[in-house]
Amino acid sequence: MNPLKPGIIPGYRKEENMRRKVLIVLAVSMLFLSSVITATVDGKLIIWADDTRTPIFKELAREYTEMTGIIVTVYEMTMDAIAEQVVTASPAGEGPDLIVGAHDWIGRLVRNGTIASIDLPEDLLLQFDPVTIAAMSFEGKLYGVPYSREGVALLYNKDLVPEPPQTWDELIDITREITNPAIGQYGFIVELPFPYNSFPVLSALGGYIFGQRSDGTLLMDDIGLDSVGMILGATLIDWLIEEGLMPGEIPWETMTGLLSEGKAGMVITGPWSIPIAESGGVNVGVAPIPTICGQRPRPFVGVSGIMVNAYSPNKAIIQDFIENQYATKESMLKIFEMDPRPSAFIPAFEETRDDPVMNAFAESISFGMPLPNVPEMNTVWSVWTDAMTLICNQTLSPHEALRQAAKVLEDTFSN
Amino acid sequence: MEKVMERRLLRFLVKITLISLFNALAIFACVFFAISGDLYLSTAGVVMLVAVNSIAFKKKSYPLKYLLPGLFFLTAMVVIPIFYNVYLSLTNYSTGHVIGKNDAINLFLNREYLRPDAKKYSFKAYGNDSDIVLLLLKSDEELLVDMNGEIHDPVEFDIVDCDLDGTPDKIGQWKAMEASKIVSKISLLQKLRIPYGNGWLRLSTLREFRQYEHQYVYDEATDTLTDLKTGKTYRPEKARFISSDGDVLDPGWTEYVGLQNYLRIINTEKYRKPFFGVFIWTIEWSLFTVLISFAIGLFLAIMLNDSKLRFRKLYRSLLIVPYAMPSFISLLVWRYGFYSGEFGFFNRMLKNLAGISIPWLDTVFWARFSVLLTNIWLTFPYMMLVSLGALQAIPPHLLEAAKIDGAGSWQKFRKVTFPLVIVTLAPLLIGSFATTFNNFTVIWLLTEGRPVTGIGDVAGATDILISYAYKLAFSGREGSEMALSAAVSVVIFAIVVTISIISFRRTRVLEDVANEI
Repeated sequence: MNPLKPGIIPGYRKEENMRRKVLIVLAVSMLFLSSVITATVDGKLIIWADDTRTPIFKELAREYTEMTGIIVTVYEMTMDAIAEQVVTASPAGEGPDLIVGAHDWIGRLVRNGTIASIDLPEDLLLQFDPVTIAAMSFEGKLYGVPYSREGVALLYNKDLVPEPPQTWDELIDITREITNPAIGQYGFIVELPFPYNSFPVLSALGGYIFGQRSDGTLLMDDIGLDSVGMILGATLIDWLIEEGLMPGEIPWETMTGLLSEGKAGMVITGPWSIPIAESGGVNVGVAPIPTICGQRPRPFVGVSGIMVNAYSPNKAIIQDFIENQYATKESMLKIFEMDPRPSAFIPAFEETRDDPVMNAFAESISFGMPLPNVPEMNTVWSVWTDAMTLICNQTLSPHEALRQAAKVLEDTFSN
Repeated sequence: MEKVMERRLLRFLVKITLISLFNALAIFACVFFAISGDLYLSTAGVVMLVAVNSIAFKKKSYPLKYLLPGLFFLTAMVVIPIFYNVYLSLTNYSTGHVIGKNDAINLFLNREYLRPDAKKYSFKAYGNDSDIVLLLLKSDEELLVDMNGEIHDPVEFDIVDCDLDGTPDKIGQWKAMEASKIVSKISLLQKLRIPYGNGWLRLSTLREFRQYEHQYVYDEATDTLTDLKTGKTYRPEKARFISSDGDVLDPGWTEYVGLQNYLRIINTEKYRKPFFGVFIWTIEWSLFTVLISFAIGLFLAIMLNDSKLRFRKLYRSLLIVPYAMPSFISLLVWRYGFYSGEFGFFNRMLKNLAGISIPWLDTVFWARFSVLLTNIWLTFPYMMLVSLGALQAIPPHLLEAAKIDGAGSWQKFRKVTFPLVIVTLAPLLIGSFATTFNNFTVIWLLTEGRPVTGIGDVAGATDILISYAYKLAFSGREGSEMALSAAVSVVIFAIVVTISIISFRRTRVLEDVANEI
């Protein structure tokens, strides 16, 4: 296919080597200069994005430069590096103007004074999915402009499970049929004990983390880890383990391993697992998670978008970039094309509804709740994971473990 | 003679060129750092500059030439981090407290808000070929503004509108400017603040000015911040602005808190309780690792040192494999390949052979056993290598003499080999102890400190002090607790230093014994 396949055209290798050397020298010098170059500059925009988003934003940047003459530079970093470094780099004047990130960073970044709130014109605001705007808001203010939402659904191996289950009982029946621990094959698995992926099961019967006021703000003193729904959900998981239908510990690595080897019938996971499954030659389908006692499971909704450095001198250019380049149907469609997750921008989402995989995920998360973006989630995750660990290794009953966890959180948050 | 002179001249020239190059770069760097406000880096640069030049040209400081690079890296990589750590442990650096107080106040002063009925203006710029002189802002009213933000009366100017479209083509002597020219002046336009109402008009997108209002005023005399929107007053308390009804503003700031973090470790049960347990386990972990792997290593070394053994080279190469393989890979293989629950190699074997399974990483005892097993496997080749070296250094006549005196092989080992080996290796064993004491990688890649001992506990059953400190750094209610973690690191540092000093004293006694032999 590719006429320039390495090793076929004589001289190609040599040139490639030379180019590599030049690249290495450039990379090293960039390393020294990077702190100088990435500093926020008056009159130019700098964006930090991760490897999947960088090409997208480079494209948007190119168009914007053509349109206005303003130079926009996109730097590629890992998600973790962006979330960590922006906190220290921005006050020193070395941060970017915009970062591309996830909505659950917002609480921590606001606490640290790193990001600024954003004012969007009313008519533009109304074109975004309201759940995504709620996710990007913190203490009543908007801190990010979303472009996509994502969450988990039921991935199933079409060779093992021809027809996805509609109800939890059907799921159990299928699981009993195909589970065979002797050959390491399981009908249904979900990452355990870390409760992100299993949350739909925990939430279906009414489990939640923080209570909510009617306007969507969180009630930090109403902790739902020991709510009846959460305990019932955890009991369902506990039961699967006790019955020997599911292992008591499935770290992420084991989960993806079983999925890509074709040894998992059904897995609750997100769109990020599809390429992994396909790399193992598994024929995967996506369906909404089966209802439990007629109730819809509610996965966490994660929202991606851009956030503004509070120290940036370029507020006008940023606002212009957001209103006239980023939050437009054309750009949002381009973003979808390169990163196919349900768009947060309604006009773009309406136009992309013919993709079955994306539709299944969109349906699954349409019942979801935004992952809380408060910085207190840091403690919640660790305490909650501890409780799930003790449930899954059969040390404590779901009731005891979750009661203790809720108690610990109440103590932590009250002082 | 002439040749020597020539060579000297050449050497001198090369030296001068190199030093001048270095000086040029260093001076550039110092000036650059000074301009960009990094005074510490700039001062450090000046010190380096003086040090390098005086060492290069002073005859007396000749030996320093060879020490300087080492000293430089020692300072940069060890001394400065230690001091920084101590400094950090005396502050409140944590989520919400990452910037200075002045930075925080500036952030509040720069906060502005847009009223729902805020005015929006389209604008047109007028000027000569290169500079903008006047701006005409248009909404329901028209404002004529200069680049200092002053509003002018249009009557002052002669306004010409040739095509009668309502937008003037010329104001006074200044012509309407094209959009591309305006963009090239964007940084000036962005800075423009036109006082208006309770706030200002500023460029909000490339096409519009909008009316913003200040949200806060700061009163330096009383050190209070007032919200103009709600009228609430905020006072500083615990490095944050807080109102009388308990409303807290983000962000807070970093400040010096003295020994508060150390007191927190002592006074908070959540931190104190695990500390001693973790400390004891860390000692056990280091001692068992060093002693057992040394015993295995020495045993294998003695075997390999026996010239009667065939294929010695092959065995030696094979035994070094655990040490030569990158531990990042082997640790993950142990964790996911061997230990991991029902899927691990060990449990599959055990199930097939004996029908049992062992909770390798899931109970306190087995998890500690497993991390020790893996770490001993990783360490014994090193012990074997150094023991081989030490065995080679034992004078053969000593062993011969012992044999003549009628010593058996156990006595030979007990009375001759072991004392001599231990004298040589004791410092290495102490070093090994200190390394294992702080061996974060092995614990983190194998168990991350797990299994969990209780819900909400910071430390797990296999956490050693350093991984406990790392977890503490991220265990805050809202994220990072860097300062607290720094305090724990300082305590660990003190412990390791004390142990090392005592042990080295002891070995000096051993050495004296050896000298007497």
